[in-house]
Amino acid sequence: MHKVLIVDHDKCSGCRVCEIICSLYREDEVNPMKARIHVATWETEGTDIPMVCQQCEKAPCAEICPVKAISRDQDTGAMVIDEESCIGCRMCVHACPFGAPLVRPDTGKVTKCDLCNGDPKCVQFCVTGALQFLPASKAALQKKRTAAKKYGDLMVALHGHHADEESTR
Amino acid sequence: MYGWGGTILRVRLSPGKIEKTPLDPKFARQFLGGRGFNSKIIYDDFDPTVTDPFGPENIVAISPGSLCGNTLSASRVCVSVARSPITGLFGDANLGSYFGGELKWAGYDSIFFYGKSDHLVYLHIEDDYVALKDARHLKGKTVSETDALLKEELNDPDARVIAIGPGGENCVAGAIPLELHRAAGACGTGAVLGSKNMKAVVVRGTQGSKIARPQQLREAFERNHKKLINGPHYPMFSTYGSASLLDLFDKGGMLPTFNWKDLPVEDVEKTYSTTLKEKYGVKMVACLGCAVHCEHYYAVQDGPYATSGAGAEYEVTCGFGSRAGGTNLEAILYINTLMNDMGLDIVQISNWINTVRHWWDDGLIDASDTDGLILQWGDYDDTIEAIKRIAHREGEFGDKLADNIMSFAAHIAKKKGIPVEKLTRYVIQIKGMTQSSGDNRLMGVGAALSHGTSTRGSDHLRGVNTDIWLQQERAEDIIGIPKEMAQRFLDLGLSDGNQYEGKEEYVAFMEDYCAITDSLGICKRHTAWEGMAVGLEEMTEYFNAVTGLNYSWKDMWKCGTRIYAVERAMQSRYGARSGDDYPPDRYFEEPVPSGPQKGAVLDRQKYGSLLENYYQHRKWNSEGVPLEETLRDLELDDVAKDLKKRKVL
Repeated sequence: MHKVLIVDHDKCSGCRVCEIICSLYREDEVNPMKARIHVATWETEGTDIPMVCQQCEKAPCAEICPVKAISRDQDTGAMVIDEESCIGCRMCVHACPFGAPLVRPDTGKVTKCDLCNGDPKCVQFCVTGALQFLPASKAALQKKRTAAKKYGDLMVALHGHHADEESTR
Repeated sequence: MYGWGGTILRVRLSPGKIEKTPLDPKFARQFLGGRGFNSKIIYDDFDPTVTDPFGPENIVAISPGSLCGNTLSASRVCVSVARSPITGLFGDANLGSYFGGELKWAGYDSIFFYGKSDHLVYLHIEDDYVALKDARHLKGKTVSETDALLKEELNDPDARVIAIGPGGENCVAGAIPLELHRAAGACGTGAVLGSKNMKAVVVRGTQGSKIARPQQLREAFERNHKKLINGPHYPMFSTYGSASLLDLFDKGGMLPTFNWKDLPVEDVEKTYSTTLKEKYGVKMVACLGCAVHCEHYYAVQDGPYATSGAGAEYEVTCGFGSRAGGTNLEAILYINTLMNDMGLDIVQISNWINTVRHWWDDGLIDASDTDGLILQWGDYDDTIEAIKRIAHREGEFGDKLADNIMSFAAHIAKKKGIPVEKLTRYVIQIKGMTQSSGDNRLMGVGAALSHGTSTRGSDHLRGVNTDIWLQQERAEDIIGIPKEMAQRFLDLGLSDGNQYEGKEEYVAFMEDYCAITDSLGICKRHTAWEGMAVGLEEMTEYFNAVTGLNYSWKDMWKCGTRIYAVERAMQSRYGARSGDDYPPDRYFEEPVPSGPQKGAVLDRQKYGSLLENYYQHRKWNSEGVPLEETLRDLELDDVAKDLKKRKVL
């Protein structure tokens, strides 16, 4: 099974190392405007949310592309853009629910996260674990567990013990 | 030019003109960026016979370090003024930021402000577009309100804003500019911005930075990133922030309390970083490109001190905690948010108010001098009121204290008919700048000397914060310092914190080291200054990869020495001499009264000899003025000529 890049925004410190690393590794320069990942920040509220392509199974970007320039890389599972074919119409940007595709400021063509050929560099440099690269099934389980933990904490706060303790008593 | 933005901005506020000057490559190679650029250009452009910090002749410089926007660990912007309202001398301050990278990506290395606007303005930069705009609608707004309003009216949530609050607008000597909670603490640069009617700088840059050797930079990142996060102090700072120093210092008997009386504070554990994290910590947040993320985002959910914000550094938990004789962490966090919003310097203002408490305790001042505020040890509610009155210069007390603690002492002395020395003796300051939360009887002799010789007044960030980093048996275990230097320090016996002999070499080296970090924009918390792994060699490696130059760490060191010499020459030109390089009398005369460090005190005679040795090692004269040949060796012939012309040499 392919690995997926998962984002746990509760852990994000907002440092934007991912943006610096992405542009340096992929564009040989440091420029967040050319990074395939972007941290949306509400600093006074302490909220930082890394936004990056989710490599959707049913990908609206590929479906809407009029020149069929977007397809799945069978080795990595990533949706990749053939920049030669791309006509820069930006329909994929409009179609993406996350605004993930990136319009290149220089050529006007679109590019996006391709998981660095299966070894995403942003993940390697993310110290908080806000970005992780895991097998899809494990990622889903981890997400369940994180959600369950929040639910469990809420139960403790409300009742002084976990919900399951009540039902098994 | 790789690495640098390539353009210096000069903003003439009267009559509102903006000049763009290409960055001279030779100047860039000599002075690096950030603090180096600020210091030399201010030296060249300022008439030192002008003494008023609030006159239109004063200059404010805002420059990100040259690695800002280029590398990891580099987020710092240096804000400098030709005359500080606190020291009366040249002054500067640093803030960790996102602003620095953004300014670089817009294509600029520095902004210099000259003159004075006749109404409140802000500077708006968006790549090539640079304009002064009306800020009258922002009058009286806090730093966070200003940030939000500007982002909203410019419709750009990703813009970065450095702003002053009411403190700066009202020229409070301890006022500073901030990027939200990231404060340019020290030297009152916000007051000078306020005197010029400069409310804020907003920047958005989309051009990015071109890197000379991207592959070399990637390799350096992979290596140094691992070294940084695997270093021995990384877990403490990344989990608990600098607030962890309070726990550490308390356990070691090194925590300043009651305005450096150093008596035990009851229940001090209530202000430990562990309590902070557990009860009020939401998460840790970072500056641009930083893996250490040492700032707490905190929230006090309810009660009279309900608040949220970020920062909560050791300086606030100690300054308004143990140094104020109090332990109410919720009130301390409330004060942290308030100070950031008012645009006030936590180190300076906490010292001012704690000195008042100390006078109060000794019966030298009472409510008739404070407009009725009761400022005793451990008070919080009147302290909060005092901060607001200082920020707005409200009432006689607020207005007079806003001028600086030393002039407030003069005001009280005159009023009471007592000698001013009786009051100023209580102030822990050097060159007028009050000290951050370290005790120079306890942090090692190197740290004491470094605070004394600091070119911007008492300061732990100018060189050595503590000699403890040298307490190793093997040179390779002294992190962030080239092995050759580390070995030299060990050979001199400098691992003994209490040793005076030879400390001049360590201090001079670390002063130059800090001049380099402030000029490259590297955060000191990533470097040898804090026992961390992005050391001089690693910084040089980043610099070379980014710029395409081939500096050795010794070449880089020479740049640091050069920058420090310019600053020293500037202060000499203003009249500062060796007598200004002494720690406060209390450190020589009041031994620590209790605890594990009981009896610790500085020795004046030994300190005097050490200071002489330091000047000799620096190749300065016995008054601490850099000698002509020293300046010429550093390619500062113009500075040497100027000092001679002005009969300083």
